[in-house]
Amino acid sequence: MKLILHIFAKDTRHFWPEILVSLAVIAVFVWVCPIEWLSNDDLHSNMFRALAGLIVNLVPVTWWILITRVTHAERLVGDTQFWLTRPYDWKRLLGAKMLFLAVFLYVPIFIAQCLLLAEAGFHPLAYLPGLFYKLLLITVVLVLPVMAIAAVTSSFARTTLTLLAIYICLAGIFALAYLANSLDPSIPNQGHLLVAIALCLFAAAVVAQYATRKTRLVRLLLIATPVLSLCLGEVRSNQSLIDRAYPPPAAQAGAPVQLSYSPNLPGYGGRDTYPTTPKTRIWIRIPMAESGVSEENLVVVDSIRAEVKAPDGSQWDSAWQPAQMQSIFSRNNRSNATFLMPLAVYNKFRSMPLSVHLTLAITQAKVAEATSIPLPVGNFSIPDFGFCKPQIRWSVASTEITGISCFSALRPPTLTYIRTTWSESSCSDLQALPSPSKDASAWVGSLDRAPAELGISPIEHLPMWLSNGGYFNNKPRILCPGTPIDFVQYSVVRRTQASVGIENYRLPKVTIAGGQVTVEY
Amino acid sequence: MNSAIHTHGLSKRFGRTAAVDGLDLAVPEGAIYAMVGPNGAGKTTIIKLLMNIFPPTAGRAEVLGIDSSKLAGKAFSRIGYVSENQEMPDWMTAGSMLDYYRPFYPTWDRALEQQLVRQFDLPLKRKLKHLSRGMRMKAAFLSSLAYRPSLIVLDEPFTGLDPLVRDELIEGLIERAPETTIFLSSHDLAEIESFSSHVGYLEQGRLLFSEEMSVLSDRFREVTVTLDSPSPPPGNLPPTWLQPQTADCVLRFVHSDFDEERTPRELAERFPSARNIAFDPMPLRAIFLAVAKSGRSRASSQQDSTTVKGNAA
Repeated sequence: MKLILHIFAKDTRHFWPEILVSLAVIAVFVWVCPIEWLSNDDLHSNMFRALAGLIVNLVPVTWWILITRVTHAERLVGDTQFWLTRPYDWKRLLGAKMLFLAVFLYVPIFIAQCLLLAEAGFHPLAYLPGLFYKLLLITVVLVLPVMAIAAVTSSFARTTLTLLAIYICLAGIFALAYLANSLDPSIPNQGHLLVAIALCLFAAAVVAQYATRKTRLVRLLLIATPVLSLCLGEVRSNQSLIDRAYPPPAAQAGAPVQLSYSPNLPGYGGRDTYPTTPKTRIWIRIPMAESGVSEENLVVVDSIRAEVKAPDGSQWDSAWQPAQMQSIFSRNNRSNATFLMPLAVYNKFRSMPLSVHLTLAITQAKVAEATSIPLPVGNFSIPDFGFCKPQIRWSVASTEITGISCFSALRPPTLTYIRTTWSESSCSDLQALPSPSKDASAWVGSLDRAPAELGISPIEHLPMWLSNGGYFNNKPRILCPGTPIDFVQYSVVRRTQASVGIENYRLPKVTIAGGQVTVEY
Repeated sequence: MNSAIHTHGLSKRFGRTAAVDGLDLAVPEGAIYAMVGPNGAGKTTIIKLLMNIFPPTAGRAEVLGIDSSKLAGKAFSRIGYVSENQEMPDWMTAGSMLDYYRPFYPTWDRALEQQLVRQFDLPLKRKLKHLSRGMRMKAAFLSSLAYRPSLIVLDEPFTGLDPLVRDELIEGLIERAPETTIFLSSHDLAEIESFSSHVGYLEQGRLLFSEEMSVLSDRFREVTVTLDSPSPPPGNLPPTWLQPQTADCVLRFVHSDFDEERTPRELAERFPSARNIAFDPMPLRAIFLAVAKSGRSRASSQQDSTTVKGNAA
């Protein structure tokens, strides 16, 4: 331990400017973030949001410099380093580097996150598991990868170039996946597995490099393992993953919902328009009606699989896709089952009556908590959800509320239905005359939540677009203080599968012109 | 006598190039062993293999009784290593570097450290990056001598140093010699001749010889044979006769296996008409030049014959 502290003290003396800059950036971050949340003025809030966004990006940059510099203080690549022929023990050396990162990276960000949580009205002690999970995510996504790359490169410039190359590769992969319209279904808790794999890989690479300095081997490990994991991921079928996460109803007490094709569903129709891509696919939206969902429950479609058969015997299987639009079925809410079909398949089947079999991976949820309050003028908090602030329209002496903006601690809240009423006249008129009004509602949050989201800030901004917002008769719809606002939070009951068979289904009419796809229902 | 360093078939390849090829070496405890050879002979590679900076491709080495591939951590508290190419924590002052190294070595001798600081006249408060090459080397020596290591390994330690600094460092080394084994590589023959007890000659990764300095000096003689009439160079010369040259009535060569009793007799028998046969002792530099040149001419003649054979084919 004495030598660990000795090496740590040496690094601290050496890198005090980098440490100081890193701490200063975190301090500015702690100062700026609350201003963004607390300001009700849109312009003011947006200005500080931009500044906070800049600082949030600066924090990892200072860490990248700090991690690389401290790792390269005792470079592991090369044959001329002073420490190679000194009585350095690799475990102590690694221990000293870990201590350095703990003291100058983890402790400051942990304290900063506790301060920000407290400032936002969340008691940090109540969020300790989430805070530690957040640090784990930072470790897996930032600290360990940068340290592993620094450990197998010989200079700051090489580390930077390698990181840039990796960034470009990842951007390329994502771009290719986007262009190819890659459609991997979202599978609950899949994130934990990825975190565990990445943690093991990077930790093994760092330890192996410190223990053996077999740089080529460790580089190979760093390159081969993700490739191998991807290959294994491809080999393992989505069907088995889905069956595991969403056990078919035969194994359970029956499906929580019965879905049926309802072409005459009110509100169904109209057209969808979206830009073409190199691999254009057609959104097929099928109106569905539910039965069997009790008053307190709802059913969310997470992924979908469509098997299509034509009278000529030809068939097509969409394989599992993520649900393309938010498909939530509750007693008072009909919805659509939506999937993507390649243009070539569409063209083949467009004029035929089809037999369609849909399998849906669904999550059944029930009301866990419902809160109803009169909309306050200032900030307000909702238990187990977070805090919200009214958004004031930016104009001289304006106090009109044009929406609400909410924040939660460490992760988005559980799936929550927010409901209130827009006023179509000024709030002062409301006192005198009954005002015309319009429903405002939004879904926020998720039923598949990790203990924390990846990020530097412990406060999650929840984008919230209340339905029917915007202008009416050239005047914005506004929320009047005192209007009841409901927050209905849901919790998972179970995940399962449901299926629907549709006969004689006709695909919608599609027009492709001017770089736009128009689907008419 | 025990060996401080012992290698058996030690080899290191970089791609297709054999930097060290089947090295068998024994450095006795207490010796000052100088490994000499031309640039690119593999001296630095051998030292890096011994210090476990490079893993060997084949063979093995033992340093202070430890397998060199396991040499790490505490084992280095008994070894002092100085290399002309070694990096130093340049951002530290010489004094803070010594302060930093001190806790790593249980045997660090503060009195010796201070004595060496005075002896080398090292400016403790200046940053290493601001020191001259000579001063940096002194700092490196000091930080490798102050803990009284059992083995000091020096890789081209005197290259590019002025004679004064060189003498100071050698003096510092010689003072430590009775309590340690010193293994150094150099191509500056004149300076190692003055204090080395053993010498090894390396060429193209192979050790051509390794022996005590006194034995080596005794073994090599410059031989001048004065004949009574001009004659062509004799054929079938023994391989121990290096660089034979004839001019008029004089034949000169380097005898690499000289024996005070046997050699004069053999030469007298071979050159019965010789008017005079003189045997002159050789300085180390002359010995190595002779060995190096004869090695190169052997190599080039082998290459020539290969080329000739190839052309003929």
